[in-house]
Amino acid sequence: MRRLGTLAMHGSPAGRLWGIAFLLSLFSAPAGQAAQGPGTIALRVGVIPIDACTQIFVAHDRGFFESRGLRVSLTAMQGGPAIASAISGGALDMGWSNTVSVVIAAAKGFDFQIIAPGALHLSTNAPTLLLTRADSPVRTAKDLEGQPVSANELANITELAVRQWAKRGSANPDAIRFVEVPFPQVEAALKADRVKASVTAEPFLSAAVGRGTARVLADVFSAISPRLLIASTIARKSWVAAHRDEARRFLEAIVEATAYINAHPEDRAAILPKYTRLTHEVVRKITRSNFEPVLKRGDIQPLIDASLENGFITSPVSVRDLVADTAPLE
Amino acid sequence: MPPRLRALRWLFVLAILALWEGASRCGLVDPASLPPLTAVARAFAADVATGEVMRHMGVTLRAYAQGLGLALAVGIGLGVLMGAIPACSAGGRILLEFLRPIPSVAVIPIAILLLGIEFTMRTAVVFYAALWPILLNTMYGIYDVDPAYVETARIFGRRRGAILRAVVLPAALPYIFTGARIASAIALILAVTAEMVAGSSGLGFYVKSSEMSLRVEEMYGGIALTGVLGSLLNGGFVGLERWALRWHRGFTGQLAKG
Repeated sequence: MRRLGTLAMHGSPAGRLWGIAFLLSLFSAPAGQAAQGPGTIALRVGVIPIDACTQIFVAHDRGFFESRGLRVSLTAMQGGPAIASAISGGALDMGWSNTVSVVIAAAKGFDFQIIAPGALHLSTNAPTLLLTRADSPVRTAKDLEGQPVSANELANITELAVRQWAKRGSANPDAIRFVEVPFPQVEAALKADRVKASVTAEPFLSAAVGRGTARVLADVFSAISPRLLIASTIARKSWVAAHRDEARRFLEAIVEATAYINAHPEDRAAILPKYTRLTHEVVRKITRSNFEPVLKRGDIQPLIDASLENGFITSPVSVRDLVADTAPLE
Repeated sequence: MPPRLRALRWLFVLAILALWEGASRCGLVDPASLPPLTAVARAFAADVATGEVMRHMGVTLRAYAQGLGLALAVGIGLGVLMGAIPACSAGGRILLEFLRPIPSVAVIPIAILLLGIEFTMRTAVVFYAALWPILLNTMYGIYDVDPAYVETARIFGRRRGAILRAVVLPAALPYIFTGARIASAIALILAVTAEMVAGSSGLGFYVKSSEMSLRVEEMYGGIALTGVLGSLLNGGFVGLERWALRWHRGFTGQLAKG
């Protein structure tokens, strides 16, 4: 079959040109990639289209990145693991991640670091809670021993919180049968009695409680601590070392956005639907995430302690190593 | 298909849709989980009107076409080599038997690590998934060519290239088309799945982000559109196959069955 090449030589010249044009089009860059302006630094940031990422959305919408010479392109992803994997592979410079994932990654030797503060759990305003069916007899952690309980992701922050809460209620966390149910499917799972209790976050929390399907069983995060850094923006340590200036500017923009969010709750509600598919009505109803401009040791340490206590990690991790040295830590 | 059967088919579709509407309206299923068809249509139409749905569909179809196009080029090329040259077949099959059983969805995380999150990754995943049915069918199609055809052509003094072009490939074409049709369905599935995992556009993203934003109606709209798209693409391939193989069907007397 030495003459295989002749196969491609068939057809009219015009037909061949079309074929070549088609092949070239397959490899061309997607439309919409703007040329880089002078003096601006391009940053590729992974986000999840949810309320907890509001700081990044507000900084993007209000031009807080641009004013610092950062041209930030946001990529919406469907979950933390995909973002972490994209950061690891270099497809993203930084992205949103829950803190326990960073703790576990650090214990396993991955070099992720927190470069800017994110969503805070406050016991006074918790947007993630443990629900049970409205007519369920379950009252305490003891009632859940031997029962299926769902977390949105196993071996992560939500399961950790339920385990810690069970311990505080003198129940045996190992007796709880943890299953994975994504937040959007929690209401249906509770209704069908497939799980006895479920950790749920907004907007599904308000929806399930509002429709009378579920009631709040516990604020499980507060069993770890009344204040926790649930999530933050992370990057690779090696990236931070090579881009210290960018990391600092990104942090500054997030700090400015945080102040803006806390001063203008109405604007915040208006910006969110631009970056997520949440409607204005839904945004107005939900318990919104809490943001503070400074990273605090006290908001991170309890997560490390609880991760150790529950065997999520086997050796301690220091807060200072978790947070990039470009970010001040109180 | 006789007209009566065709009418029956549409009647069946209508019955399913009516069942959907009715079950949701009278609370047989929870309307929060499965909103009535009319509510889905209304909400989805709003997103169609803004052009959002078309934009996402374009993105999905682009990854589909890129991946499938590459898979056709590479799959048919490799399939011919492996089918016609014993040495290629022996070497290729070891690799093939190792790679083919890996579920294509499982390569998405690897693709994200290596290729990032946008078009390149999605195209690569679609290509990977669509490659196997095309490659295998081409290979078996060529194995299956009646040696008598090839011998006859050789006796008439045709060279190997000409035999391949005029005898072997046409004889293998029914197999190749079957492979392409299977690959088309798989390509669409993978394009949508990859968008659900990563990336900020495409029908998969639309479905997933609707779900995450409590927009259940739009989510169902997106899912339904994916289904319609899949069956239209399949119909397109069936039509193309019927046209391209009309000589074959005529020869084997299968035209009437179509």
